[in-house]
Amino acid sequence: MKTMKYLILLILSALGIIGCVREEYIIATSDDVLMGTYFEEQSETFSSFNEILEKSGTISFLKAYGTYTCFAPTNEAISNYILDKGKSSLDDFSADELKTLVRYHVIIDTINSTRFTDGKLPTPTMYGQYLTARAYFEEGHSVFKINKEAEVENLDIRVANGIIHSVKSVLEPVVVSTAALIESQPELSIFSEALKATGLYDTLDIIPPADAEDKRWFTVFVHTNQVYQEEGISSYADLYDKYCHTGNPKDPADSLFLYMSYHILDNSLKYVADLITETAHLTLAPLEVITMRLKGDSVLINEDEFRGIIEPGAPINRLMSDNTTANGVFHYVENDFYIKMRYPFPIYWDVADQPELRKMVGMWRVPGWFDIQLGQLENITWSTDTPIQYVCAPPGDKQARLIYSDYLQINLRTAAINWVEFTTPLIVKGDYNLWVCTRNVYDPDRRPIFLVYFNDEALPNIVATDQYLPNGTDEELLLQGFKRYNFEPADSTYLSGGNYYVAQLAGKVKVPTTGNHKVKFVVINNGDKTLWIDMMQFIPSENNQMWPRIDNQGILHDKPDWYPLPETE
Amino acid sequence: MKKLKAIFIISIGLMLGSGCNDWLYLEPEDGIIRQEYWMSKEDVHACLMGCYASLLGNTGSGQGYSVPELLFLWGEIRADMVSLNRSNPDFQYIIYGDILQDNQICRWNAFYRTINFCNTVLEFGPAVLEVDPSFTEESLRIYQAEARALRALMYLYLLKTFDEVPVKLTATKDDSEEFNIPKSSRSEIMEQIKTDLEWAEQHAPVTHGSLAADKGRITRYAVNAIQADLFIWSDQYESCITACDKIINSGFYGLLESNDFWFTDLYVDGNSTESIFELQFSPEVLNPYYRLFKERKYLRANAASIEEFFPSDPNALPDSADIRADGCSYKLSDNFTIWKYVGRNREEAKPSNESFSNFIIYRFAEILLFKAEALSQLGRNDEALQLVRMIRKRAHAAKASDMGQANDTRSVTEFILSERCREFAYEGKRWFDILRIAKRNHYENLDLIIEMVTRSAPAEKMLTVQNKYRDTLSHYFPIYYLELQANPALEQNNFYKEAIY
Repeated sequence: MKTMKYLILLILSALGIIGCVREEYIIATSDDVLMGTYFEEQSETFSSFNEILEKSGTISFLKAYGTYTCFAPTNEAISNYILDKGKSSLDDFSADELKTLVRYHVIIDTINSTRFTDGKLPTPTMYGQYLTARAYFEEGHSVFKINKEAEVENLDIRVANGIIHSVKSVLEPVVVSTAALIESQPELSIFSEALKATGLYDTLDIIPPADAEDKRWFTVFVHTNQVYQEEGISSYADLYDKYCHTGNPKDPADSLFLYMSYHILDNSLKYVADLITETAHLTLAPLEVITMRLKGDSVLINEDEFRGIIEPGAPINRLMSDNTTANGVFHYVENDFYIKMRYPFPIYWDVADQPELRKMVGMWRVPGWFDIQLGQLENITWSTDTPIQYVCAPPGDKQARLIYSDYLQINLRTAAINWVEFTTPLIVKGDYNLWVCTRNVYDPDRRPIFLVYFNDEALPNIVATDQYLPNGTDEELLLQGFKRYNFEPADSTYLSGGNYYVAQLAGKVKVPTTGNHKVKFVVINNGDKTLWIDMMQFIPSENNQMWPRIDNQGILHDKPDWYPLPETE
Repeated sequence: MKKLKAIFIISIGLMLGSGCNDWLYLEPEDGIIRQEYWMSKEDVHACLMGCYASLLGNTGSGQGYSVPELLFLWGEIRADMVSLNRSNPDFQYIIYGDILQDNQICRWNAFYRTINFCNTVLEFGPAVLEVDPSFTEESLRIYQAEARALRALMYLYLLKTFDEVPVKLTATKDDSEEFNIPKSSRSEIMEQIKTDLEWAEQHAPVTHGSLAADKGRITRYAVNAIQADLFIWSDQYESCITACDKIINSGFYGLLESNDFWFTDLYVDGNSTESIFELQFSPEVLNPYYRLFKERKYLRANAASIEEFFPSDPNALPDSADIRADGCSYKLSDNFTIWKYVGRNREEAKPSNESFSNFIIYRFAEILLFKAEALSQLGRNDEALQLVRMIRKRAHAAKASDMGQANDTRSVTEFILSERCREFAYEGKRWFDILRIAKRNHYENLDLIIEMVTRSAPAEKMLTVQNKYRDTLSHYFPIYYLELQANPALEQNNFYKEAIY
């Protein structure tokens, strides 16, 4: 019995010993590695960067949850950097220097490599400057480089609080201003001298403080001396002779000043990849725009069709461009470009002539109709995804007198499409009368009645398409804001159906810049019939508003001698 | 008491011994097992038909894209003829040049599934000769020839898409097998395809006795077509011409006339005299393209390329336009819909329940252009141009898309490339065409790919995409990450290797 007792005691104590092994409780909510921890763990690659983080006191935030993208320099990169700076170890750097360095390598956003474009990254670094990232092809391999220099070793290392891209060299913020950097390039001496002469050098020399909320960035297009030489300009004096007309290039009205301002985009930081996402950019020259066009892979400035003729543009040298400075970026352009004096000229704009529709051989300007979905046209957009229609009338039809016999049919009413917005062709800046030309039907309040907005400003006249052209002579009509716009010699009295085609004056518009603008129709009634729009006309205010008129083949006719025929009643 | 115990034990023993005759029986009761299957020639036939059926789809949910989808996607999505019309990350990443190893389009399992079916026929078919006396050696040979040719076709697609893949030639029948097969080299795979095709050419019949079978099953001429494809891919021009001539001289095939019924005969009804091998969709098995191009409409025709390759001539009458343009390859009035598999005729679309237009893998026009390309590489440019003119004449090709008088090899090759683009638009050929011609003679024509990118990549990423494509390793897809996990013997294409610390 005693032995039994001992046995039980022994078993109990054995149980007790086993039971006291420390239980491993999970105290973290996730075992994903945080960025700071990752650098500690991967000491083979990142021990130096980790040291920088510790010395600068920034490791703690990379160990906290958040959304970071870190371009982490490898150990080799950092030891090269130390050598470059003529120091012997990281101890020779001040904590502030290291902190700046870290801030330039971290972005508060998660940016993986699929978000890299050819231009800048979508979010600036904590330091305040943007980084660029794009692929290059070198020695038989494609590599990503940050800021055109630092090769990426490994992309897209995912950790719990963001993404790490390891880089083979340390990134350094640019501290030189655009003006100073341009000045330091010997091949830009003419351009740089002109900057100084016009006083624009000082504008481009202002570096905003790193922590400023709204930084003033500049995008500058420069020409090398060689480009100028090809134009017969071999020194600043030649440039002065060519452009300066007041003798004072600092005068904002002077053409040399304007010429130089025309090469600068104010308040914009646009790398080439950003430039091509928009067709026109406002320059520092008041209300003057440059246009961008992508042809194959070359980017052209001011390649525009003007009065039916394509004017060749100036190509941007993409290899040399995208030069980051402390307050912007500058690009090299291979031909000189300058503000062209252009006078307002009338635009007879057939709104059914859209590039996307033009491609539809066998459909466009061929009798019949088809739906156009929202999003299909670059230059026309509307409020809901109800389709609009392209209609072309067969010969002899009542609509056949429309220009090219075609029109757009839009279900414009408050219960369907509330508004429709058109982007105009290039219009030279100046004052115009905007005429809206429609096929009307007498059907009171059942056809759209709408307001016209030009660049979001309402024009004075309401356009009603439920009325025919009023009776009266051309002059009487003009006083009421109407005109006949189409030309049909066989029916010059407009008695047999001629008053179906109505041009209504929406109002006078001031086109502020040469470029593309917006015209918007906002409907105010809820009829059950559609809008049939044929064209819009921008006629310079100084021109004759009634003539020339346009026939259904699109040909302009000046007022003939026989017009108007005596009315036969 | 002891007696009772004994009785009890005995009775239990009896129960076990008598009631449960089948208690160690492991065979499934509602299915058929291999040992009971390969008994008659009908079994072999059914299994071979299963190989063809596996080409039509049904990969199973969660298994990625099916063969017919991949035949289209592998051939088109990296090239310049399609644009994204509706958000689809897998498609978008490829079009934007961000090809990653977790992209579903890089899954090859549908192809290996068909290969395994072919291997099964080849492995178990011969034994049926012994059990079914009515099964002749000759008909066995035919089945084997079809299976080997089909297997070769699958490996040819894998070769073009991945460059190097594991080669498996035995049926997967139990788990005692070695599954960790490393990649074979390009030349080994080519050699394997060539061997299979040589054997198949000797034994495949000229006809199977019915029109649908002649177009839907492998014939000797289908084998020649795969050979021509392989030889042009591997720059063996003389052999390619020989293979093409066998088809051209057979008298079985010709170009369809370009009359009012051309579109419906060739694409809608299918199995025309022009066709050599096509996937046979039917009201029972609909094709997957209707969903891709019409119902969900992930993809549409790329307007920039349409403009480039089908230049419009405003002065031409609609009736005299290129028959392959609007209303055949694409439909402008339907917002650039890819039309070949969706149209009921040139004007209107099919309803979804009629979407069984076939997918053409080889047709006579391609044989002519294969031959033209090979001729041109051998410096016989005038003969090559003659063949191209045949195709263009049939199609009423626009003057604006003509090459002019140049007859050096580079110009003629480019002309053939753009003519192929017009002729086989959206038939799953475009990327392979560009890659084949670009890579020839140590990437002599890499600029073709770089130029293609200007039409396919988004403007703001064009340089990045171009520079990626300058790295020739990127021209082949990565191995899907699950395959890498399952098979440690596989090695990822260097271009796609991920960071490992």
